[in-house]
Amino acid sequence: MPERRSQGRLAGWFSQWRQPLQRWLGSRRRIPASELDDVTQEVFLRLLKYERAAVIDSPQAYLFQVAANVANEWALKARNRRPHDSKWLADLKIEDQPSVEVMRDQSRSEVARAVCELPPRAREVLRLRYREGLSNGEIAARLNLHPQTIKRDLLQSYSRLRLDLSPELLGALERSRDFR
Amino acid sequence: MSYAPYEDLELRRQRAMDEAAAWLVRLQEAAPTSAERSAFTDWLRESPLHVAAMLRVSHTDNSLSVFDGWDAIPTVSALFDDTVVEWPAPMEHRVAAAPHRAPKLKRVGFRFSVAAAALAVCVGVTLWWNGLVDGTKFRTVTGERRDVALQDGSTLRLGPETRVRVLFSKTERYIVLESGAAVFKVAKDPLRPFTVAADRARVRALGTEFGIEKRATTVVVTVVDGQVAVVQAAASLPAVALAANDQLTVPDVGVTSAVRKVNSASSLAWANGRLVFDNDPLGFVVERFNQYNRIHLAVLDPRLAERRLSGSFDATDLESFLAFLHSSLPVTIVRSREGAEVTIAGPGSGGRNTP
Repeated sequence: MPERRSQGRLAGWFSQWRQPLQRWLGSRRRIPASELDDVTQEVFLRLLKYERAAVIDSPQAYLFQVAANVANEWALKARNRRPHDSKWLADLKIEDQPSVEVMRDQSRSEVARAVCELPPRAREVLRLRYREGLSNGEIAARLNLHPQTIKRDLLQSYSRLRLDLSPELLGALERSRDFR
Repeated sequence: MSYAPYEDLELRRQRAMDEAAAWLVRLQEAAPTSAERSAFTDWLRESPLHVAAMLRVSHTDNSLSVFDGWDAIPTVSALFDDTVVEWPAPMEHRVAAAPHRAPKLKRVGFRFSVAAAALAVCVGVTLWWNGLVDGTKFRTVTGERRDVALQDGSTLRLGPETRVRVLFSKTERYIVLESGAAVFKVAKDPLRPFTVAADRARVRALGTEFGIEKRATTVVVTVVDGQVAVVQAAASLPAVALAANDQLTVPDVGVTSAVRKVNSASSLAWANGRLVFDNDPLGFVVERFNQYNRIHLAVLDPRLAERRLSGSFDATDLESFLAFLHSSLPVTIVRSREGAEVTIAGPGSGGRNTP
């Protein structure tokens, strides 16, 4: 299965920060979008507070762990501030929750739309990276291009893509993958 | 610099995004050296913009890694020729299966010409996904055959029990074969690629005639006229070229058969109301007849269903077919009392022996 294979390739050290990342995305769901900038600011301040030496060991894992912690505390504080509001809000959300299927299609089409806005070669590079799980060198060999070109394509794609999918949508995508 | 004018902020954001993307690319490749980890840490601690950009680009990375719709994203390799069939199914097993010489991918020169086409397909796929465009639907029932003339001059002949959806735009002609079989006569229009989607397969054409049949676990493409290339989305494999009278059967799983030379007229004879069989098992033959007739044929004995037969029949003339069966195989034909069901049994299983 290609997905499994790609996970295998990217596993190893890379997966070390998948988990903190998931935790951050999961806790982010409880933060209103309007407060995300404040959360980020707090993450930054906290990164400064820690010893540089402590962070250096695994900076990316550290970043997401801190982000997840800040988001969780933020959500907690918000709940304490407005206990009634948030309870009411939570009840409302359950009612309005669209089905997993609808959300999955929504997130899929959102990713598809964003990817489709990239040039064809950049799309192919992304597909080989994420569906086939190939490294830059392997992609370069496959497409008969210089590895530097692959790198440049990836760079441009990442800075152009705006895929801030909500964690709910991401969750729906992930669950759908497990079912297959 | 202690004061940043507002105009600058967008620029600085963009630069932070670029740098974050560079870090992501770097970090994905291999475990970073301690010098790199140190540089990354310093970069993060430089500005909240960096933190925000890194969180954001990681989010993008995560969205892409859980995305499962890559097969429907058109890419360069799918668009190198004017006529392309794409099978984006898992390809690992197919390497050994395509002995045919295939056209080499031309890498340079086609890139710009296809960019526009790629975008068009892309738009089509997205619209299809979003369900914004429902398209015109055509549907046939048991026994029905139907010709559909499309606005661009192309024609479709739909087999029985077939469903298609037609999505036309200014830049693209997109058809979804949801079930059944159809023959496509494609009017030439180089500015609007003609794409047929069947399961996970996509057939692209500019001006040609071909049939696609969706069976239970396979998709069969038969070319009448013109050229079609079967491209596999895992682009390392060569494309398989299909010319007139070539047929390719691609199963949902497993190995693609080699390209077969067929008589496309008889393979697609159903389009003219005839069913042509060449050493096909009785079970398959009966299934085909059932698509055309309200009277249902059944073969209960599995060994009998394996018996092979050849012949050319009028799809709706059941009596002639039954007479043929009776004369060529040792079978008993049993009709239900209402006449809605005919059971074909082995010899000596009793019952009234008509016809």
